[in-house]
Amino acid sequence: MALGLGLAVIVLALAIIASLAWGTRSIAPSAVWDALTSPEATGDEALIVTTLRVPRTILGVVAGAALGAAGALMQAITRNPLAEPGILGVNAGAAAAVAAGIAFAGATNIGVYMWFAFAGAGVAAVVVYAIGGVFGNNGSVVRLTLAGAAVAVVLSSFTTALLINYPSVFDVFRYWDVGTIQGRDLSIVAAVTPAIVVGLGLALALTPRLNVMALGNEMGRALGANPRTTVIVAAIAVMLLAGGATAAAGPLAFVGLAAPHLARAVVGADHRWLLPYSILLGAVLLLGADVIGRVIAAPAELQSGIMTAIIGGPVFIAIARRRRLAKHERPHACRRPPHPHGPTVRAVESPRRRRGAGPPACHRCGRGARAVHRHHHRPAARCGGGDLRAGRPARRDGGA
Amino acid sequence: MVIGPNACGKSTLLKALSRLLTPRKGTVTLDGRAVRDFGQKEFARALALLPQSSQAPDGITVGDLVARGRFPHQRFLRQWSVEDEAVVERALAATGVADLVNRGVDELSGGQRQRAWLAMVLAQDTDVLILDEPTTFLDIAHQIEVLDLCEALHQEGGRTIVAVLHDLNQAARYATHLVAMKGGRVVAQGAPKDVITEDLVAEVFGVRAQISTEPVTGAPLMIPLGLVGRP
Repeated sequence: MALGLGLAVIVLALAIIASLAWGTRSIAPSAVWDALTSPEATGDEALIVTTLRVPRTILGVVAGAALGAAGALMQAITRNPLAEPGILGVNAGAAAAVAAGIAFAGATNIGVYMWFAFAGAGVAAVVVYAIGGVFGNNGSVVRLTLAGAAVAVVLSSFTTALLINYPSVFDVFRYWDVGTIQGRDLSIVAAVTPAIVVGLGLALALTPRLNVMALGNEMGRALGANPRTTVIVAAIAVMLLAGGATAAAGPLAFVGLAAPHLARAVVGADHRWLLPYSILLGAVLLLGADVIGRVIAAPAELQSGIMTAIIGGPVFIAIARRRRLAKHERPHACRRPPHPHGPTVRAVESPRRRRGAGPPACHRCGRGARAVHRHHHRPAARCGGGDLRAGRPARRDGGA
Repeated sequence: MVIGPNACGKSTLLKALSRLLTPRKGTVTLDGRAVRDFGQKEFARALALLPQSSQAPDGITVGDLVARGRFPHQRFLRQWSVEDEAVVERALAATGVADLVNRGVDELSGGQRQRAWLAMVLAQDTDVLILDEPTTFLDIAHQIEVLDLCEALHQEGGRTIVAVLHDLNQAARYATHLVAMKGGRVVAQGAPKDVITEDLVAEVFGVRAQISTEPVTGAPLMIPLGLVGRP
């Protein structure tokens, strides 16, 4: 896995080189090198590299890393594979707070409106978690995702309203609606980087706890990890990471979703590896999306936020479709009689099932298998012979 | 060993013992010290709990799962040690899942999975183990395997094991101290042959039963005849 991490670093290095060399105007790597190493290189090309592409590339790395880490953290804390600062409205919250800060408080300097971004990210996260039932016991993957989507829509229309009505807001971030890493100068990057570095440090320090918490709240506590501190520290880290990235680049979705999933495909469920990989892959993804956006629409450019959505949208759908969004690991007992063909029935996951052909049937006997599926694949906490269709969380022995 | 009908407070008792719930009245003590005075990890080094239902994250391997039991022994600067390695290997061997180290937990059968979780709890290396229905979902061979393992841990390892069992005969056979609960209260406790009586089974479970003696070990043997008040 350490080897893979080295490989990921190499891929990132390639992405950085591509980002420096490719664009509306293609610049030879040697010219890029000259521009970077010799301060007296002036010329057009050197100017493009030092004033445009270098800040853009650094921001791509920093913001991508931040979003990748934030996504991995949110997925771990919510145990929701669709959790991500973009989808759950955290980035939208940061953007709305920045727009409000510029419009109403006259905060035009990144050093000032960055704090609005942190506050907005934090408030949005708390609101979405509350609506999505993370604090209670009635949360579900779908509920949290819907809560995030709804809050994100409300917040981004608020941001749009401010952009339209306040010229000052419009001037400061006219590309903010979709998010981009282009056209930010180094001072902006420098302002958010410390916050993001602190956020990354917190995230990495949390990884052993995240591993334990992944076994469930009770198990986590039984192993000596306090869920409350873990959640709070993770929330602070997400606030710094998503807030920092959004303050500099605007709301970017899907990077935080795709990076941890890619990482998980490579390293599995161990957060001590998952998080570093998510950080590196987040940077690769954002930078890659940005470079592709420059190349496919040349001589014009597609903003990186649009590119991440074009690439990330299908990823989101694929994850939502493919995965059983919640699953139990230890078997559980039901009072319902088992289906005669038992848990081997894989009706709902069967690729042979035609969509729209009514309720799935058992592949052996053709009888309705949904009950079987539900019977055998529900999370243990939800199943216990109660009326699952009514969604009543029945317990096997009434909670004894 | 704790027995009692459904919803009589067995799991609640175990949760209070393991500090997941704070009792409204009274204190839970471990070796004379109130459990709430323990530090988080300190307590997890003294007492391990296997809840009734646990969820393993997607794609986790058995080895990784068991290794997570070492969390309370790790500190920020001392992550993985030779001792951790040795304890995990012992836990894997004791539960017979050493061959499955690299298999994903979600590929395992029910019995294997339960043993993997037991291995994780063993890796916690505590003197007290609390198991909430460790044999449920297992076939008879795996049930005996788990209970024999617990017995060995108790007798050779000198560990205290608190477990909820639903099978009265198994409880009678394996328990050194049996606690019967009903309606949130302890009704009887003591040696199995003093606790498992016809009157108690009728009172606690509402079952008419005949108690005889198991010929091999001499433990009480309960034969259910029917429900109390029904022919």
